Amino acid sequence: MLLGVQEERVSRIKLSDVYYFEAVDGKVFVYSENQVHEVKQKLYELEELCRDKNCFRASKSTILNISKIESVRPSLSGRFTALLDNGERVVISRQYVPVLKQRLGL
Amino acid sequence: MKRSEVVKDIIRDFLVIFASIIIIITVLRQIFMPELAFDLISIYTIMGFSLLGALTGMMLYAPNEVSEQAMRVRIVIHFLLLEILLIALASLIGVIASVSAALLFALQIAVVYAIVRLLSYEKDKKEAEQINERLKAVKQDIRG
Repeated sequence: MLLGVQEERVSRIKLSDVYYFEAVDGKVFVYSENQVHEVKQKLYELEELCRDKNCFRASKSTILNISKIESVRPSLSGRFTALLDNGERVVISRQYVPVLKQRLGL
Repeated sequence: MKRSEVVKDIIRDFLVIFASIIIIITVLRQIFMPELAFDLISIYTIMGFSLLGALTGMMLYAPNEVSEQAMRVRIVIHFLLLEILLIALASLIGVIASVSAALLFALQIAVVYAIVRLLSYEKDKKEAEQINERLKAVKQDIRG
């Protein structure tokens, strides 16, 4: 369980509801199906916290929940894009694709 | 990306570029100048060009996250830089001496560049298919 802030209101967020975490300008945000909250933890702390919850580092600034990925496709720029089951798209850096494959047992 | 992975990618690109140039030149010579033999200096020149081309690939590795659009702009700049560098080098060592030769060379570079990009994209597509199959299985396991 995480504590997230949205418009000065604190909410409890279940880790299984998290789609992805993103670090933007020194702040870390947690994205659920249709909400965004700011969290106090650093990205590396969340990476450690979610290691057993199907999450993996998808780029320097994002941690993605594998169970929320609908599909993955390559882009012309040499990176991969993950389509999440809420319709959002998140970039997976080329260097982290082996991490995803390893987490999937490939 | 780790430095060792960048080096590995540059070596792979160098080998693909070198092999592609040799194949294209061999076919073209077979058609237009079958009596002409490859000399050692030609092989070393092609090798040098291929290495130079692969080294410019370093500009595609960004230490920080870049957007999809910025990455595509980098690819276009990389391609143009490659064209300029290789045509300049070829004219310096006298491989090309006329505008038509320079244009033909530019076309050859474009073909090799497209082959490298296409091969890389095809490899990524296979990798994505593999991941998608596994994702489906994992989701079924979670639902079941």
